Amino acid sequence: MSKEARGGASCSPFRPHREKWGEELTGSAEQGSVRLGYCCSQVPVEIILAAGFKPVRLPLSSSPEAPTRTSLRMGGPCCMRLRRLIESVKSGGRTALYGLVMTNGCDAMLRFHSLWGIKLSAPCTPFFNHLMQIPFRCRGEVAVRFYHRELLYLKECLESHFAIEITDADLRAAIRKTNRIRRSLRDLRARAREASSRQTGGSSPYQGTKRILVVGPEGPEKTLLMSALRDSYGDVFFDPLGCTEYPSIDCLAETPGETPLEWIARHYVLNPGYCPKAANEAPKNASFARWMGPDPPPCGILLLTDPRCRLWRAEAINWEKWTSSQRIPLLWINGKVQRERVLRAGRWLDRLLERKA
Amino acid sequence: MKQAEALVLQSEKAPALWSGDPVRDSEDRESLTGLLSAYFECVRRAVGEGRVLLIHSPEVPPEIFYAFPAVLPVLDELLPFFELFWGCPSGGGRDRMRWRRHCQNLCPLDRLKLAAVLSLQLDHRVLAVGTTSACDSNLAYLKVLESQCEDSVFLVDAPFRPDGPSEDLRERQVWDLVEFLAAKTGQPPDWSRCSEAMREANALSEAFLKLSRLERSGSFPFSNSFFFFKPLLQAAAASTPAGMRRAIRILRERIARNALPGDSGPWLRIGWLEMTPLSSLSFADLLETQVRAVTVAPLLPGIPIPRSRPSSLRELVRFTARNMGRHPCTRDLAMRLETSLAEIVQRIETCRVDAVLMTYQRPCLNVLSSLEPIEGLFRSMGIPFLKLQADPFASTRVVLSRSARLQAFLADCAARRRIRFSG
Repeated sequence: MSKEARGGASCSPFRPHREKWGEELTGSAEQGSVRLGYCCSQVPVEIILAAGFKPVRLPLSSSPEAPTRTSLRMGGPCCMRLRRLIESVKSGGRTALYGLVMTNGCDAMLRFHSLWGIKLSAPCTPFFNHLMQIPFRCRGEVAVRFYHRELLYLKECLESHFAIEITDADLRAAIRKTNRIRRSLRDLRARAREASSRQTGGSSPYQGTKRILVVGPEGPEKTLLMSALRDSYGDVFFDPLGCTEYPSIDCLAETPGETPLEWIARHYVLNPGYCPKAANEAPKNASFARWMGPDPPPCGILLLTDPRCRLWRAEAINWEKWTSSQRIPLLWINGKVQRERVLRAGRWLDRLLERKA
Repeated sequence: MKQAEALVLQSEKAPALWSGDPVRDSEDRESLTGLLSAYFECVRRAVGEGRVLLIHSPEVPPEIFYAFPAVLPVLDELLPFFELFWGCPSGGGRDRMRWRRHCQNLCPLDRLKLAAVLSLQLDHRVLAVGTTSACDSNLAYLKVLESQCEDSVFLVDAPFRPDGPSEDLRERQVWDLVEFLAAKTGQPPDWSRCSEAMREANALSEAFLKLSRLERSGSFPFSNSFFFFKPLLQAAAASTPAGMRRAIRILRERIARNALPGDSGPWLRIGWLEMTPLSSLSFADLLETQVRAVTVAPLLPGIPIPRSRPSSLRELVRFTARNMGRHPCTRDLAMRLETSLAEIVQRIETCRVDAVLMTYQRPCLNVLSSLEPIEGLFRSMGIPFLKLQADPFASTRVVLSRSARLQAFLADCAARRRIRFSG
């Protein structure tokens, strides 16, 4: 299997739909509109859209560039995510970015923000490099006000950097667009549940009890392993966290008497995306529970983590505790994709799905 | 065992545990180890009286804790010394680290903190308070602790921006913290003690400011520098303001005794960039006999000193929230590297150092990713530098090999200095 094919393979049955909606969201690829990267589910894509940019979630799972010396030396020690982020941003041509919006969600993002301009050169100038601060644990009106201030700051920075104006009408249009996507996601979920209840199998992510929940940060290692496993086991894998470009499938509510920025702030603070820095008990996280919904529990959970990512490694404890209390088998793969790890996952899946290798 | 080996240079000087009043009565407290053992004796007594140990990270200003007589705040940076000075059951915490797989990629300091807290929990009630502004390793240690001891950990959201909404968020968090502590101790905050605490907090801030000025005013023996003296000061401050004042006086006397006029004399002036805490501990004796240290690390952006004492609990909470946004934070990752580099350059030029010694721990990933720009800076300035991986918990063999490198570097620097002066 070629590297491109492996990199392009999806570990989530939602992937084709996401791509389709992504096109709807960002306009077709032929339009060649300017792209602005973001790399956290807490970054409001509505503002990027309202500014006239195509939001691109980074790091890209399959970077077209080979690892550079810079990315290896700076990103390598920290985590694969930072390395891929550097590569994704530095890669030129079709994927050139005009900027990047990050949060203080992990050290990798903070380090990237800090290193920018010192050792990393921008693919296009002037590059927009913005760091948002996120309320992680506090949920309430005071956190909404804080996040609203961050949104205002982001809007002001975008306006001054690109000499544009983002009006309330632009924001409303962007909100309508993202709400369409959320409604589509909800429809897909309802249809998938119907398919599951009819036991039709096929490409539904809910094939009775024979579904494996995949958990872990998005990245090349996860893509590689899942593409290898999907070749052998088909669509038994369900990856809700891979769908967290939008923090929830609830539509963004328009509250009378408030500005669109306030709607956005309220939505993102009260419907947080999954974040290992914020979560203390992953399976009980509100966003995650909403995705899991009333469906029957999976027959197994596959946890894939980067050995250098400290937050995910600590978060694995919560998954272990939860799965043991629920009596759900868990396989935790912590490291690079190697032959023995793929075989180990295969043996575990064979036992679980009661089929021969 | 490794820890004991690594700390042997300092621990050999450790006096016997204290008898009598540990804060007032002994000249041994003029050494780091003496003050630390006095401090741990204070902690031991307080815990014996039934107080709850509250482990907190340096980003959380301690004054709010003084409102709760039932808790004893202990800075988490002091935890690595617990085994050495308190005689905790050394294996206790490590045996309880059943989640070893989850802790393997933590930095050694955080692993040691975790082991110490788990050891202490065997016999005492322990609470922990941290912030989300700390590094991932520190957060991961708190997450592991949270999973082991439910409802004993409180994490504060502490954004950095010094504006109104940030302060409101921090203030809300501090109120939540007050409620958490009240629920855990079963007692409401004591305002009269708060008032006293504010005086202590003021004394602490003033003392740290003095120390910062002293430390940056000239070169002095290695073990008197701020990083070496900080645990001592923190320990003393946690005991009483009088302890802090005494510690400051000791430092001032030692600096006056050892400081050199100008940049003349046989001593090397080494710019010391300790990038991770305690990473120079193993080389302290070697450096102390050969060099004068000048700290070039940009770690103290400014210490707020309150002008007046608050008149109510609400004011104290507000002060704490504001302080949390400005408190000097060694793990301030949001600080742009550009700012740090500019300050390092300014320090090097002001102090006219002969060379720079960078010490760091290998597992600190954030430091590793920023090494290249800092090395580039020294190259462009033409300053000789040595990059030393100095894990304080490394084995003796490793420490000796690193010491050989350090000695060679110092000899080289001394030769350069001779050539410069003779030329």
